[in-house]
Formats: sequence, structure tokens, C-alpha cells
Amino acid sequence: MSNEIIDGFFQAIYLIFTFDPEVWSVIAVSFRVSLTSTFLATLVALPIGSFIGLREFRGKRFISNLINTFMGFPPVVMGLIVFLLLSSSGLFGFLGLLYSTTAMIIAQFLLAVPIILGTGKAAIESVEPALKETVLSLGANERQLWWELIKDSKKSIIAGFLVTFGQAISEVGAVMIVGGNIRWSTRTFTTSIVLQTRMGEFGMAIALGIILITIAFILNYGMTRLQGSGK
Amino acid sequence: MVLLEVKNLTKDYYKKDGGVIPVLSDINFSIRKGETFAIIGPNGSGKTTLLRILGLLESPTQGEVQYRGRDVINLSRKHKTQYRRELSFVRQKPLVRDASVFDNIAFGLKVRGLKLKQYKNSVEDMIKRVGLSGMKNKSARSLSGGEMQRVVIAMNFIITPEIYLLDEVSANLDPVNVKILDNFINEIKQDKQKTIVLSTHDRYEAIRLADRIAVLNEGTIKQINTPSLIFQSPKDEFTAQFVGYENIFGGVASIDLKTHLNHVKINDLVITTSSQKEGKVKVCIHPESIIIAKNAPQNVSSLNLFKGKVEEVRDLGNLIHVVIRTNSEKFLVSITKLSQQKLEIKNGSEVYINFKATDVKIL
Amino acid sequence: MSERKTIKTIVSEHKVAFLIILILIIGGSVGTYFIFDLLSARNPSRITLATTTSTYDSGLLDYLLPEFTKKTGIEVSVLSVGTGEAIAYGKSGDVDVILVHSRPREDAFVNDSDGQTPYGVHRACVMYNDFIVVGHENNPAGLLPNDNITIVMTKLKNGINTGNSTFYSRGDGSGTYSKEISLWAAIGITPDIEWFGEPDKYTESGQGMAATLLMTYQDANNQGYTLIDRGTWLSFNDTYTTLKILAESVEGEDYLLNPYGVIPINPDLYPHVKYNSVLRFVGFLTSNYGQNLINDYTKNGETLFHADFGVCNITTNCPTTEEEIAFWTNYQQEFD
Repeated sequence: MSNEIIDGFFQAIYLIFTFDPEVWSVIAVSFRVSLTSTFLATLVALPIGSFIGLREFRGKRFISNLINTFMGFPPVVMGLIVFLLLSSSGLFGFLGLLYSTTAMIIAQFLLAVPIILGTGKAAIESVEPALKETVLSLGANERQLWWELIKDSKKSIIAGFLVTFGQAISEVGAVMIVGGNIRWSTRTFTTSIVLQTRMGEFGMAIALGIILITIAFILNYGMTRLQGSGK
Repeated sequence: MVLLEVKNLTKDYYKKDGGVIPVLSDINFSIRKGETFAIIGPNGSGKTTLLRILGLLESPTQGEVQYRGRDVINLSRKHKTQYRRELSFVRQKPLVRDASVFDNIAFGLKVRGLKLKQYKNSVEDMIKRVGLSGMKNKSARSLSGGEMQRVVIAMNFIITPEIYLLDEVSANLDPVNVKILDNFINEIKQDKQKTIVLSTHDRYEAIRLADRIAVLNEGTIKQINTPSLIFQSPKDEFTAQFVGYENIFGGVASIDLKTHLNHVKINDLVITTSSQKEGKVKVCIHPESIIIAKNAPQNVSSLNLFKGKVEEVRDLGNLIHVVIRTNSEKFLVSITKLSQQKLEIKNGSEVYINFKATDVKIL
Repeated sequence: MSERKTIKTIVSEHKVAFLIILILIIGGSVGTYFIFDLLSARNPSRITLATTTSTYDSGLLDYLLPEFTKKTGIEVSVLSVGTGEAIAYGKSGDVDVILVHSRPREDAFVNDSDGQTPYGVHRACVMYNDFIVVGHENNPAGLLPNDNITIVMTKLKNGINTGNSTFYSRGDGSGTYSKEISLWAAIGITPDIEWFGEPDKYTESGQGMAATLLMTYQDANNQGYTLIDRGTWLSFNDTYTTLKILAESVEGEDYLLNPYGVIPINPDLYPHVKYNSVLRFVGFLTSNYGQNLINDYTKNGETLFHADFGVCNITTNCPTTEEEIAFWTNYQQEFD
């Protein structure tokens, strides 16, 4: 096995630097799906989540519990639900979106929304109450207060974004079900690794795994630097 | 004109086990426009909670806070913001936003909808005034504690609200910043347009700044009155013990260029002090620093010698408090029972009082 | 007065004792499980077979293996994967025997001409089944029942190129995929060159047969085609009612036939494999008894697999030598 890992490492370098079109297609699909879904989820869920964190209202605890429950929603089940909705006999079958990156983005988006809701809420709630009060006393209205708290908790929010992105790019069940692992079209790192392993192409699988890990490391390192410089 | 009125205000904290901790009970007072109102009390007496309720940072369990005759506790979010924009709340611990000095100081104006063009100059003036020139683009959170305090003072005073709520602000300030803060407060007081509500546990600060003082203990107001009345004749035991006794007069100090002595004119009375402070001042003389003599004493070192008449004798057990009127003012003097008997002091007795210029505290 | 103790108080009075009991229970059960696992791995009465999804999903193994266990007491664990992966497991010695359908790769698996120790020994032909082309019943490519395979593949190619058909390929190195590639090759096409980077025309699912069939069924324009083994198709034809068999083997043609071979892993390379049990297993499959069982297995009244041990013809391309047959006869006797 150790030989295969070393071989996989060299194969990874070779595949990247020879601009292997299949590897680049996999990279592009993975990033397009994960980034788009995470961005869209952030766009939708961050304002809502942070708003939940900002205000006190009846049923807040219930909503919080609901969010927490959905944060652990099994991706495969989400894949199944989206599949049933988009399949030709499903409610949205007429759209013809099954086995497309759009379908994958929808599934990943639905998985990401509760996570971003939760992080947005937690980020706002973790801001020092004294800052909240200072900003209020200086005359900020709710919207201005919200923006200040978002700015103050940007690190937690970036961290939440990273976690969500990391989950999206390493998720396999849902993207396999709704994307179909179609070569050149919906094949991602994870589904490709599953396929290569099944084909006994361990070298290629390891190569893809190494690329995936490297991308994750670079991304995290960059974000950590960014956060560090913001201090 | 009554600006702020607190009616039957009660605040309880609830413990997890269902127990109730009363923090404030049945607080009533009203504050006039242009007044400086001090809430004095020991730590844990509820001063901060009271100010926080006035600033709408906490809601009371019961009771009303009226601003210009309208209750503000149950306002809508939008109107609460409007009310908060009438105030400035300076808290005990300095806290700045994660932004530059300029942005921090400008924040209050910015949220009130002013454009950069409109507030740029006043913010820059303010930065100069608090001695932070050249630091305007620095991150406020990277400043030293003292500099951060100045940012906090600046950002709260630049918004020129109707009411300033100052929560034990000078407690943590270094001397330079106390001076800066005092300048702002004095300016506001001179104007007589803006209202200040401050909490403190420092009696001299209360005496120096306040037009009226409310004494707060264990969540209830013991007494509300002018400083001189409170310190000369505290109505209850707690006030007597906590604030102590003090003779307080307001007057105008001026230094005699020949003798270099500082004379403070208090109505018909002129008191000499060793302090070099001029202008409108408050004069404090501790009751124990005053000596009573039956006849005009000869060859005494004290520069302040007045003839007066005993108006009241209060027996406090081991101590006797004697109230003596000289000209327009009343002095509270503390003596022992033995002295009282020796000097045969009773209502209507004519006596002389004298005290050293160095015992006259000028605030 | 007798005090009745609640379980809670009993536990709290004997915390340490209960903790030890708890640890013993958990540790004991985990340990037992672990030991069981270890024993079963070394147990000659259990062998591991890597095979393709087609043999497993068709239900053939569920039908055959209990008979083998009944006769020998040997249990067979089945890893149902693609041919590529099955061969990879064989190469790494993770299984004891493989049952696959990709003749060129099987030959390479037992090849010893390069002086290397081969991964497998004594390959034996077991059976064959057939492939069919299924698609939406509107059949945009216009396949006809008597088209021979060359015409079928040409019509598909033309349909794909004019955009009225989409071909769904396994694209996963499976035996089915190898077969499909060889069919395209027969009309001079390499899909990876012909439709490079055009997933709308030639869709490689990279998944199993069931998933690929599902994708064909879900084709948004009802123009999907795929190559599938008959056994798998019969498991799904009731579900995917809009799909029909549009091409199958015609008389006198064997392109669509699909021979399976069984290969024991070489004990010289991996001494831990349970070679002797495997020999009995292969003996069972190739015995008259086993071959008859295979021929008798039907689904919806259709025979799925045709036994072909020792039957040397063009279909099976079976080079089984007399020597090979003689080798296995020793192991078949147990069952005949």
C-alpha cells in the first residue's frame, strides 16, 4: 500500500502539471458546485441566521433546536429528497435538472443552509454584549447594529463558511445521487475517488485525494492568514 | 421643565432556581432639563442597573421611564432607537469598535445619517481635542488603555445628545483623562441646555458636579437633595454613614495679587483657602476641622474666623453636631460632648468658629 | 422498617464495582467480536469471493452458494464490485477467488510469460450470459429487431452525432464497460476520442449498472440508450416501463455474449489464501452438478446464465486445455 501512496503522490504532481483535462474538469466541477452552493447559502442564511441571533422572540429556542437538528441532516437523505423532486416523475421533473451541476448545487445548498444559519446565529450571539450595548447607545438602529455585529464576528463567519465549504467539497453521497458522477459534467473529487477505487485505479484515487487535501490545506492556510492580518 | 421622570421603577433578577433578587425597588425621581443629577451609592446598590434602564439597555420589571412626558419602556424598536439617539451612554469600561480611531469617533454621527463631508471636520476637531492627533487612522483596539478611554469619551461627547448618562466614568480614568472629561462636562454644564445623569461612589465627584444627588442603597433611594443639604443634614443613617458629613458652599474664588491668598466669595461670606483654583468653585469644609470658641480667639493662625449663632444641636451619642449660622451660610460643626458641656452650647448661643485655610477643600 | 433501595442508590453505593462490570461487559464483547473476526479470517471454512455486480444482483449467487455450503460446510463471503475492482482485490490478495467477465484482463491475471509469479492460477470457464441494448421505447436511433451488432452500433453513433440519442456508459472499467468499448471498436470508434468532453452525447456514469440504467431512464429527452446484461435488466424491466430491449444477439452472432471466468488467487504469491477451499469451490461451479444448477436458474421464466465449462467454442473463446479439464476433474468428483 505504501508504494501506492508514493506513486499516487507523484501521479498527482504529474496530473496537475501536465494539465490533465480530466483532473481539471473534476477540480472545476468540485469548486463550482461547492463554492456556488456555499455562497448562495451564505447569501440566504447568513442574514436570517444572524437576525435570529440578534433578536429575542417567542419560539427562538424551538427554531434554534430545529436548526441544530438540521445541521446534522444526513447528506445522502438530502440527496434522495432532491433526487425525488428532480426525477422525471417528481414535482420538478419538468425542469430536467437531474444529473446536472445545478442539481448538485441545490442539494449542497440545502445541506449548507442550516449550517450557515447556525454559524450566523452563534457568531452574533458570541459577540461581547458590551459591544452590542455600546453600538446601541451610540444610536445605531437594528440594521446598523446588525452590520456592526457581523463585522465584529467576521472571523466566526469566515470559519463557518470554511466549514461549510469543506463539507460540501468532501461530500459524496448527495452529489453522487443527484449528480450521477458523469464524466466531464458532474464528476467531483469524491465521486471520482469512489469510481477510481472501484476500478482498482488506486494510484489515480490517491492522486485525487492528495489534490483534494492540498487544496483544503491551501485554502485553510490562506484564510487563517487573512484572519490573522485582520486583527 | 421635567425631562426625564422615573415612576415606581422596580427591577428583579430571577435566579435559575426561581428565586428573586430585587435590584431596584420603587424608584421615583424626576430630572429637569439642564440639570446634573448624580446617583451615589456603594457598589451593588443598583446604580448601573438604573442607568442601563434609562438607556434602554435593560427593561424594568415594573414601572415607567418617561422622556418629555412619554413612556419609553414600551416603545416600538424604531422609536426606541429614536429615544436612544437623544442620549449618550458612557460606560465604566472603555470599549471601542474594531475600527480606526476616526471611524469610532464618527460612528454616532454616521448612524444618525450624517455624511462624511458633514462630520469630517468635527470628528477631526474632536480627535485633536482629546489629544489623539496623528492617531486617527490607527486601529482603536491597538491603542493603550488611556488612549482608548479618550476615544470612548470623544465618541460619546461628539454626538451632543439631550441627556448624557455617565456610569462611574471617572472610576477607571487616569488623571489626564479625568481632566479631559471634566472639560467636556463643565462645558455642558455651562450651557445649561443638556442634562447629565451620572452614577458614582465618589462623594467629591458628586459634590463637584451634581446639582442634585440621589443616594441609592440596596435598590432603594434613601434621599434626593442638593449636595449641601445632603452632606450637612443627611436624613437617614445610611446616608450619614456612607456619604459622611461635609459643609459645602458654592462660590467664586479669586486670588489676591498682593497677599497671594485665594478668597472665595459665598454670598455675604468670604472664605480664605490655600488652594489656587479660581472662578466658580465648590468649597468643602469638614465639620471636624472647624473649631468653636466662646469668645473671639486671639492670635490664632487660622485665616477664617466668623461669628455665628447656634441654630441646632444634634446629639449623636458620643458626638454632637452643631449647626451655626454666620451671615448667609450655615456651618455644620462636629464636637465632643465634653466640649459642648464646657462651652455650654445650646440653641441661640453666640459663638465664634474658625478653621485653617489649608482645611478648605476647593472642588 | 425495611428500606427499599432504588437501582440508582445501589449503583451510587457501588460505583467502582459497577464501573468494573461495565468495563468488563464492553471490553469483553468488543474483544470477543474481535477474536471472532480474527478466527473467521483464518477459518478455512470461509472463503471470500470478489465478483461483479451482475452475478450478485441477478440473484444467481444467492441461489448457488447455499448449495455449495450445504455440500462442503464452506461459507462464501461475497464482495460484489466492478470487474476492475474485483481484479484489483485479487491482485492485492485481499480475496481468495474472483469470478469476473473480462477475458483480456483475466488472461493477463494468470499470465506467467514474463517470468513473474502470476496473480491467479487455473482459470476456468464457468458460464456466459448476454448483453442487450435498452432504450426509450420511442427509439430515436431507429434500431430494428434484426439489426446485427454492427448496424446497431452505427445507428447509435449516428443518432448520437445528430443529437437525437444519448448513450449512457458505465465508464467504470467494469466488464460491461469493456464489452461496450469492444463493440464501439468493432465499428472503428473510440468513444473517448469520438465524444471527448461531450457528456450530453456520451454520458459516462462511472457507477454501477443499476445507477446507469436509472440515468438512462431519467434521460430528460427520452432518448437514452445503454448496454446492459440481461440478468440485471430482468431485475428492473418492471420498474422502468418506458425502457425496452431495442437490440439483442441475433442468430449466428456472438458479439453480445459475455463469458465469465473463475480464477483462484495464486497461493505462491499470497500464502494466506485458502487455496484448498477455493479449489473445492471451483470444482463445485464446474461440476456437472454446479453447471446444471446454473442452467436451471431462471428469472421471469428466462434463463440468465448458460454453463460452458469445457465447451470450447468461439463464443467463450475458451482455450481450456485437456490438461486444465483434467486438473479440475479431480475437484469436480466430490459433487458429481
